Amino acid sequence: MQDDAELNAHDLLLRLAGRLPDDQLWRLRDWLASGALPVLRRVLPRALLRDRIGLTAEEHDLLRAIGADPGLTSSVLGVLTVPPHRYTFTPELPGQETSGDPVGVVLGATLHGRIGVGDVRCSWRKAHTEAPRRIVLVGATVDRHRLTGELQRMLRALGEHEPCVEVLPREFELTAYHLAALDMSELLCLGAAELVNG
Amino acid sequence: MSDRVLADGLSDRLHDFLLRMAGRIDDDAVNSARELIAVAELDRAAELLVGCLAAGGVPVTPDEHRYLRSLLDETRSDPSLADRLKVRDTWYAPPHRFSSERDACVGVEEALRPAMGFLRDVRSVQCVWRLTPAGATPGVVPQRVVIVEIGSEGFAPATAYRVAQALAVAGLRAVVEVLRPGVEPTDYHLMAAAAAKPVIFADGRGRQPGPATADAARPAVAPGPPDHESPTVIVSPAAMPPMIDPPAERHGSGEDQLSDVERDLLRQLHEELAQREERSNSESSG
Repeated sequence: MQDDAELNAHDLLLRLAGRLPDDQLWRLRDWLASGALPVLRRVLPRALLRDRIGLTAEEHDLLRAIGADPGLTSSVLGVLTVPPHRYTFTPELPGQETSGDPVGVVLGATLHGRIGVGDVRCSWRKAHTEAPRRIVLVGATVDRHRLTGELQRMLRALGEHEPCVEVLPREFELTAYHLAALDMSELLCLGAAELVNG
Repeated sequence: MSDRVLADGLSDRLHDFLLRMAGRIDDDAVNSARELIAVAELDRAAELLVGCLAAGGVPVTPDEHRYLRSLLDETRSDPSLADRLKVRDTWYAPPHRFSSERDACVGVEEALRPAMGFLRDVRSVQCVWRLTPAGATPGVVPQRVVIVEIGSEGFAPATAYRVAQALAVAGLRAVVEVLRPGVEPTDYHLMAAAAAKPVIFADGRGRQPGPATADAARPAVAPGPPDHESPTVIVSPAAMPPMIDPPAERHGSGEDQLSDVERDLLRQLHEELAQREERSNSESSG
């Protein structure tokens, strides 16, 4: 675990992908990217408590390391393993092969050759009751939380209200959610950094 | 009983404060905060608001800052969360633009029909497109803005929530602003209302704009009955921070009474005068 509260918060929010509702997750990631860690510190444990989302022992350590109230943190449920996610993933939406993916083109054009960025991939997440949702998977070496914020804001301006952007560090132990998404993803572009996540 | 009155007052004050944030934070945050108020999660609503203001670097006036601190305190949240906000006497925000060139009311009457029976004292519903982005994490534009005016029997937070929910169920993306009697509409709402078109319900409701925005609507939509209005594009003036309380009277006329912007202008004026004087001295000596 790192000393830096922002890095720990980024890692914890990565682990919560597919577990915390998308509307809360992108918002908390935006706050982290924009320096609003004190608000995140207060809001995140309460969100976990309210939705009864359990954390593993390692995730509990991360939550404490970002400076969350120890009293609240102690109340967050403990789990031995992360519960299985309920999603399936696909590399393309039906019809995309004829219509193209303008948002993907913008993402590729923005991140192509960027320093500190590795491979940029896209997958589509499906669940029984939800519309398909784009999952952007980016390998990056530096400023991961800020890159997350930047990409989220870009996607929102392009019409994706609750963007799902997973900026993965090289040393990150991929969750089942990320592995499943990467397994069914398509390469959008390569940055300047050499990373292998998939 | 007194607890209930206090709680209701707090919900309305949070609702009213959110009206002042319209166009300054993103529309999803506004809708989410309204929903949280409606379902009585006031601390979460206040924290969402403060988080968005802090992350977006959105300036607030000293009055707004004090008010937010007190809202956090009253909702049993942490008032020190507001300490990270940018507090400015004055600032310039890009103006918002509204248009009804394309009819923003399409589908709204049908979408709201199932909910109208549950809503109390709705006086009018108006729709308009906002062409400009709101907040630091804006969604796509144009954004449909739905302005609902209620009477004294209505409940503003509940109305905002139920209307937004009904529109979302119908697949209509919108940010909902509910104006209640006795609360002064902001420039944002007046400009939006001036360009908006009314939603006409089967029972005749909506033929007239409500009292709060009637004056704003009049100059823009004066010719002809509502369903024959010509398209209107309204540009709001530079968004100045709305006042929470009546402005304190200024005593004295010293430089210490000036705002940051006024001080800056005064300093520039002094510099220019000094430069002119220097130039005229050097010309006369040369």
